[in-house]
This record gives sequence, C-alpha cells and structure tokens, in this order.
Amino acid sequence: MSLNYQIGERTVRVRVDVEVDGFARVTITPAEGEGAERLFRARYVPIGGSRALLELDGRQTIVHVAAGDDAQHVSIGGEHHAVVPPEVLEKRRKSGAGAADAGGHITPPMPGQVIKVMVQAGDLVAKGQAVVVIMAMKMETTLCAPYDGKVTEVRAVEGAQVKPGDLLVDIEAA
Amino acid sequence: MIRKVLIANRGEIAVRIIRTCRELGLGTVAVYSDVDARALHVLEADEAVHLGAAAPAESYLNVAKLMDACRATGADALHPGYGFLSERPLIAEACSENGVTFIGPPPHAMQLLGSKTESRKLMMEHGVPVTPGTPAEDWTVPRLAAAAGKLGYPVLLKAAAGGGGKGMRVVFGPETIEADHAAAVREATSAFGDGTVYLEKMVMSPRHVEVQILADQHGRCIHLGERECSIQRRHQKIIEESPSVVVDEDLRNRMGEVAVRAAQAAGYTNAGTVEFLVDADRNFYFLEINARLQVEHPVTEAVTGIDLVKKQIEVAAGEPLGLTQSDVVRRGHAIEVRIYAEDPAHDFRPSPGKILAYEEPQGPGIRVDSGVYAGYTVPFEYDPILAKLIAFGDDRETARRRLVKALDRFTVLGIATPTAYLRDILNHPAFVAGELATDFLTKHFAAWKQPTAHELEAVVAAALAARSRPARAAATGSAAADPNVLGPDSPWNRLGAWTLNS
Repeated sequence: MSLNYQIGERTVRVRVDVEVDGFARVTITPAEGEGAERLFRARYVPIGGSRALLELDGRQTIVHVAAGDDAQHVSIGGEHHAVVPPEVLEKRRKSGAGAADAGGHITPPMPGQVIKVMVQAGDLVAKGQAVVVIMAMKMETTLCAPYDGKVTEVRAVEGAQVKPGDLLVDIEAA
Repeated sequence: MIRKVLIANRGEIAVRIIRTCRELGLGTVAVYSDVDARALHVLEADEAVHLGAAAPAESYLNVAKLMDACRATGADALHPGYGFLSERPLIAEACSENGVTFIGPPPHAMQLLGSKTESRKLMMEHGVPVTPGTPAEDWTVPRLAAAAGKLGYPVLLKAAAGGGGKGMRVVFGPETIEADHAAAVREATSAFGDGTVYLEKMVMSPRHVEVQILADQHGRCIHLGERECSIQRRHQKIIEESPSVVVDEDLRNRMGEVAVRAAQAAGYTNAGTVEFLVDADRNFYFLEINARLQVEHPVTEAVTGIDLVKKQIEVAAGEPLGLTQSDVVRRGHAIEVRIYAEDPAHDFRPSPGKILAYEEPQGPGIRVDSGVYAGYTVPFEYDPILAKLIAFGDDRETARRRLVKALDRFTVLGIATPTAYLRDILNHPAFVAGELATDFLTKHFAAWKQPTAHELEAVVAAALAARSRPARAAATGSAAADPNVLGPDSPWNRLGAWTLNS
C-alpha cells in the first residue's frame, strides 16, 4: 500500500511498513518516471505542540510538523517544506483542480486586496497579460493570464479583500 | 519626568519599546487597528487603545486619535517607533501642543532632514562630504548632458522632491540622457507635482555604512560607531552588522566626527542615524539622516551595551546623556537578519496568514526581537517584518556561525519566511570574506533556489506524523479541537490497521 505525496514540484510514492518499537520502514519512490528508491528506517515521537523527535537511520533530529489547510508544514534541518498529503491530492484530482485547464482560474497566491481589475468578460487576453493587481503587505502583485484565451468571468471587484482559492477571473484557453 | 509611554506603532518594534519601558518602570499603552486586536504588542502592553480601521490613515497614522488615546490613558510621552509617523514633524508638533513628550527629534530638524536637497545643501555648507553632483533645477538637455559628462558616467538623475526611487534614473551614457531626463521629469511631476531634478555621480558597488548618533538637549552629541547594511534586496536592507569590516579606528573616528557635525548642523536631538555610501577607496559620502530609531539598532546595542530606547526616553525627558565619547566602548561583533513574511521561492512575494508553529532559537549571544507568536494571523495590511534575529560574538566569524545555527532553529510554519535564503547568504564565501556591496545579492544570489537537501526526510516526517496523530488525539479525546489532526477522511485514518508489506 503506497500513497502519493507532493513536495515542491514533484510527487513521490510513499510506503510505510510498521516495525516493532514504533519504528517504520519508509520507502519513497518517484511517482512517475525513473528514479532511485530511497529507504528510511524512522521513528517519529511527538514531544508537544508542533515539536517531534525524528529518528532517521540512527540519527535524531528535532522537527516541527503542523497541518495547514492543504499541506503538512515541516521544519527540518533549517529547511521549511510544505508536503501535500494524499487526501488533498485525491480531493484535487476529483475536483479537476491541478489538471491542465485549472490554470485559467485566476486566484491570488496570498490574502490581499484587489486594487486593479484590468479585464472584462469577453476580452481576449494573451499569455502573460496582466489581468488583476492585488496588494498585500504594501506590495503589488500582478496576476497574469497563463495562456492565450478569452475571459469568461470576472468576479474580482476593486477594493475587495480576497484570499487564495477565491476565483478572481476565469479564462478559457483559445 | 515620564511616567507612561504610548507606543504609536505595532509589531516587533512596539514590543521592543514596551520591553525597555517595563525595565524603567514606566507604564505602557499600545494602540491598535481592527486587524491587530490580538497582535503581540497589544497583549504585551499594560493597556491598549483601539484606534480604528486597518487603513493606516484610520489608525496608526491618525494624529487626532493618537492624541485622544494619550488623553484617555494619561500617557505623558509618545514613542513613534520606525515607519508610520516616526519622521513626520506633525506628530512631534501635536505632542508638544498637547503636553505630551515626543520621544524623538524636534520637528524643525525632522522638517529639514525630510528634504533630500535641503539636507544635502546644509551638509555641504558644513563640510560634510556628499557625492559630487549638481543643484536641482529646470535643466535643458544640452546643459544636463554637459554637467553629466563633467561628473563622469554613470550618473544618477534624481527628483528634488523625491523618495522611494520615484523619479530616479541611472544614466549610463550621453546617448540615453534625453530619454532618461524626460522619464525622470514625468515621474517626478506625477508623483510629487515638482519636475525639478538634479544629478549625482553614481558610486559603483558601494557599501552602505551608517553611524548611530545620540544627542541630548544640552548640546552634547556623540556617536556609537557604525553599522554596515550593504546586503540589500530591492533597496531594502536585510542583513546588518557592526562593526563594518572596512571601517578601522581611524575611519570610524572620521565618519563619527562628520556624523556628529551633520547632526548638530541640523539641530538634532535624540537618537538618529547618519547614512553614508563608502566606495572602493573607502571615501565616504553623506546620503541622509534618518530621524528615528532604526530597524537595525540592536547590532549597535549589542556591541556598545547601550540600550538605545532607554537613552531616547532619557534624552526626551530632558536628562543629560551622561556619556562622553570616550565612555563608548565597543566590544565584539553583531549581525542581524530580518525575518519577513515573504516567499523567496516565489520572487519574494508577500506571505501573510496564520502562523501554525513558531519557535525562536536560543543560545549564547542570541537575541530575537519579534512581534508574532504561534497561532497569530499576520495581517496583509502592513509591512512584512515579523522579527529580527541578532547574533553577538567576540569576533565576526563567531557571530556569523551563531547566526547560521540560530537560523536553522528559527521555526515559522504556515507562512513563508526567508530563513534558508538568509542562511545561504551568511554562508557564501564572499560574505564570509566580508566582501559586501549593495549589489551583492544581484551579483551572487540572482539564481538562488530553495534548498532541498532534507526534502525526502520532510516527507518521512509528514507521513509518520499523520499516522501518529490519531492515536494521540484519541488518547486525549480532543480530535475535533486539535487543528494538527487530519480529518477523518485522511487515508491514514480510514485505513485503520495496516497490513504489513501489502
């Protein structure tokens, strides 16, 4: 039994085989294509709060793990990683998000305020063309069309507060 | 005599000011906007006054509301922190009209230093070195080109009323000067309603070195040595240290003497910072005076042992400095990094949101000035600075290593921070060698990538954590209340007991 996890840009298959004393053998292989299999013998001991002791192949490290809305956030060895768990990947697969055409749903990467809407429904847009500008932490972020296409819907309203997941503009590929 | 201080600011700097007020036995009043009701500075202060909506004009920039808050709480002094109202003469004037002691410089000095061209003129009159340049005027292109040729390209074209890089252009040669001039005038006119510009010789690959000064109301002004802030991203300082590797005792004395002269020329009192550019031949040129407490003040506190906020309060209360120049004894080395809510993996875009886990590093020589905590939601309405991490050591290398190790242990989960980026900068051979310049990051870090050395181990931790949580939650019966627990639809939960090697 293996489950898919996403980390950064890649997806890996993870199999956990439980051993005695709370140890587990964790086998990680690339979900697609060729790649070396990695095997870890590990034990995870929660300490309190987000802290845990991770014993990996005989070495121990303090890690922090916290569950966010759509990822497990892990701090380890001075690196912070967002690991997308199987159930979130599954949900995304079912809803069609993450599929090739999801790029046309323009949503902000962070909470903020819409300060400029540059398109109207029916407009033709070119790849890379600015469609909405949002302001967060006194910095402007411009959201652009992912490909040539036609604007099918505009929900963004100047002055409105928005968050990741909110649909601002919908673009249908040409 | 000051008894109660209202801090007209938020975030880490408000918390830091409250800390010193506490030590001095002074009452503290925090102020906050709608989105800051649970901000750390509000929780830390003795009392807190709600100002209004998140928009700064309705809250942290609203002088009338701040004065009302002073009256309502009996605060007899106001500390502006940095940013917001800190360099606006009107807050100092309002304080004096309302019988509130303003903890900062006098309004006339702020007024004078607020204008780049005025302060540049004043500095030249007092023999303070400035970069070679021209006066501000309504230039014709041939005359401008002649002046630029005389200075030698590249030159900086700047708006007289300028600030924040608006109306500023680097001119690399005579062939573009006409277009650059037109663009600068257009930008300056639309941004400031004033199209006059001037030229400055561009210092190539300069270091940014600034001198901390302290001046009391009895005519004494001293300097506390320099800070080097050359590591900048988009003109924003991100790593600061003291001392600077290029400043020896002789240069320190000369820069310090000039900084004191500059402050006195402006009639300055309280704490201030005189900024300079230093070129490859260690010539230094006046940039501007920052009439406030600087973000990076802790590195000076670390190497001098002087609490700058304490001195600010004493000076504002009319007390003499109680220090002469020879009393300032510097020891060791300190380096500070700024922890912003920003995502270095995605072009440093802002990263507001809820902090799911937070842990500060500890250890000898480590100081953290922070405005956040686990469970706190960082609002998107304000500056992205979350905290500052400062390491002190007997020498630069000791401080640097401490800082690297401390960054490895600085945990902020849920929002993105540049801790790994900062660590990689501190470990870069050019940084280790002290070869700093304001173009350091464009030169060495334009192609930086998020480190992935522990990526698979992170997957292991995530997979095992998901398995270990249900058991713990079941034991405490708090599954629903614990945000760290995955929902019942998690495959780890649905699967129940596993078949080995299935």
